Amino acid sequence: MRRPNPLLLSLPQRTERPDVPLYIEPVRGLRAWRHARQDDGRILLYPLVMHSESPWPVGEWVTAQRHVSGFGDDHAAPGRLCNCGIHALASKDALLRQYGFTIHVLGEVELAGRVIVHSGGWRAERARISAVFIWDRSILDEHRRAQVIRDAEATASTYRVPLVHLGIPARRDS
Amino acid sequence: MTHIGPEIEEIRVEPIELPTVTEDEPDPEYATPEPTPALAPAAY
Repeated sequence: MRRPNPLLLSLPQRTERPDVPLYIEPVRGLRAWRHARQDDGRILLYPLVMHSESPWPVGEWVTAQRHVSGFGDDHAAPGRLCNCGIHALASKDALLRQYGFTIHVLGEVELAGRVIVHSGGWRAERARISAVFIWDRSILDEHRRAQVIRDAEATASTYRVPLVHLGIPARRDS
Repeated sequence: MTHIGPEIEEIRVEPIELPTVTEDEPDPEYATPEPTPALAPAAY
């Protein structure tokens, strides 16, 4: 008996809201993380703002948990009238402006599921790491710059994603 | 993460995950069939 084509089976099902545009390519956003070297030499990434001790998983999607507010409101993330969900920026310049001079690991994520589009980025239901960035850190001293680059390389190796060199736009002094 | 600006719209993204097949784990659906034994000259 002929088996069904797995590609056809993986086609997205109808969304519960037909007026919401459906995309089959992940949205690509930009993020920063805290990072910590493990005893085995791997570097795992952690959320910046959630004070979570749960690292982003390797090779898997992160799914935003339902958000329960202090007022008892319980909703799936990302909620339209909330700030919940997995945040990502749209612009490399914005990412570097916010985090370019920190020691955080920066990188790219794929976003999926319900996604709220904002003027400067997204709030998403699911995300997974797709690249780690390194860029010109000439502001740092040589020792610290080498450490930052080693951390980025180890992070890319841990998460089995490409290490991407970011170009820095020319400074406009006028 | 902050400063992602005002909301514009909602979309839904369901990526199509292509099945990955490695050299070590051939998909039986697409496995190469056993080669047909060569016919003896007399069969020509």
